[in-house]
Amino acid sequence: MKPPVLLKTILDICFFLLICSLFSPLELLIHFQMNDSPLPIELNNRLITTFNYNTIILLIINYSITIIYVYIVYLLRKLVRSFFKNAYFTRLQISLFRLIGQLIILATISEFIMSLYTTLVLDKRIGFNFSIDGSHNNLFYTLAIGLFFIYLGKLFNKSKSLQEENELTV
Amino acid sequence: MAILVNLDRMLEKRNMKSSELADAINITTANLSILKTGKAKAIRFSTLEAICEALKCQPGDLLEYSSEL
Repeated sequence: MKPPVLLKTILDICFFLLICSLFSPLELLIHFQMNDSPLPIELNNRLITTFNYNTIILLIINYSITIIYVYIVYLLRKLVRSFFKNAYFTRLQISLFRLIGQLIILATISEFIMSLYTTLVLDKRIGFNFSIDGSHNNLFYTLAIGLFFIYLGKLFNKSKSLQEENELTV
Repeated sequence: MAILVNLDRMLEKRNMKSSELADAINITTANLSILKTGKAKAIRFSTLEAICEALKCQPGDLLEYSSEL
């Protein structure tokens, strides 16, 4: 079976860009050191100009979610790289599929809670909407992807036992 | 597993070595060892047929069911 070179390359680029985004708090600190003017920060399509206790919590939660996404892409890279060794249905692959799925679900739910909190803090109202749009960036779609990864983990586990059975057939 | 493989006993009866049987039925000694040690999860009819032919025995002489295991 051919190794997924294109997939590995795309994930490498994605990982590099996400790592760059992790340095955003550093940029913010440098900006505050050098300028007195506030740096406009956009969060969930809302501009944050004033910094108080609530907005700082929002930024920390948002940063934590970014860390989870970086870790997901790191695990995906690790998973894809494991296919290059021509070994399939290994324990590592099964646990990675499961962990990636769980993290996607965790990040999605955290994002949803954060959007509620953002509305509460910045718009001073409570509200949420469930909608399905054409993009990949919606709650149900991402949750389904997370569950699909967990299911893939289960499928790999089943395949592992079938492979073992096949290898132990004389 | 509740199925016991009595290949060792049959080889002893026929005064045959594992490597000789492996050569006769054209399987690797590693696979024969898996069968002998009871690690095998399944056995093909073709392998069973070849072993029976080489050892001049019946499948029942090679396999035994035990409820205690």
